[in-house]
Amino acid sequence: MSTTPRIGSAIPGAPAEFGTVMSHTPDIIAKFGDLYAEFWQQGLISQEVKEMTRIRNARITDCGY
Amino acid sequence: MSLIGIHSESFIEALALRPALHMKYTAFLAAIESSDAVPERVFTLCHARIAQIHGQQVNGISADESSMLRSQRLEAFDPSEQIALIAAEKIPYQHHAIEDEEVEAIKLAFGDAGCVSLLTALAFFDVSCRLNATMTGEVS
Repeated sequence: MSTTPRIGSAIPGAPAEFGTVMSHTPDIIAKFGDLYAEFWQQGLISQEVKEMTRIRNARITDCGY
Repeated sequence: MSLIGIHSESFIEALALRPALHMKYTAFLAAIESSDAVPERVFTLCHARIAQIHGQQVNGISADESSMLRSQRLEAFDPSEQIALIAAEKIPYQHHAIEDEEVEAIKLAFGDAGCVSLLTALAFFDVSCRLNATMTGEVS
């Protein structure tokens, strides 16, 4: 597993992280933001439950987020 | 091949129970699919291989291509397709085994924006298969 960014930031001067790397594809990151906001802010499942499942998923997949 | 509405992704129909979520999910997939940097055929091949790995129905490729993908005879495909398929092979269950050199090859083949588009597509092809399996139980 790589520990250094494999794709640089699309924003000059900004470090490479999820948002700045995804900004290489502005339409995709914009649509992702719309989707993610809908997922987190709406629906019948509480944010606490969503966050618990997100953390569990991240641990199972060995994700640093 | 559209990412939306094909038989193997009938979980999309279930998402219609949440219209706003359905609309935004399909808009997101459409944005991935509309990438100028990655040929549609590359997406189709990668989607097919990930569906195979999940034991799901494969769409948009010939029986011969499906057989070659299943047996991982990548030499039958163009160099840029091979580069994408190497990453597609690892996304479902070996995502930490994708090597720096393999990502570098994707960047050389498709550019930085194409690399982001392709890796995002691979991840969400995998998501689609997982949602499909969870919501419809489709496993061949």
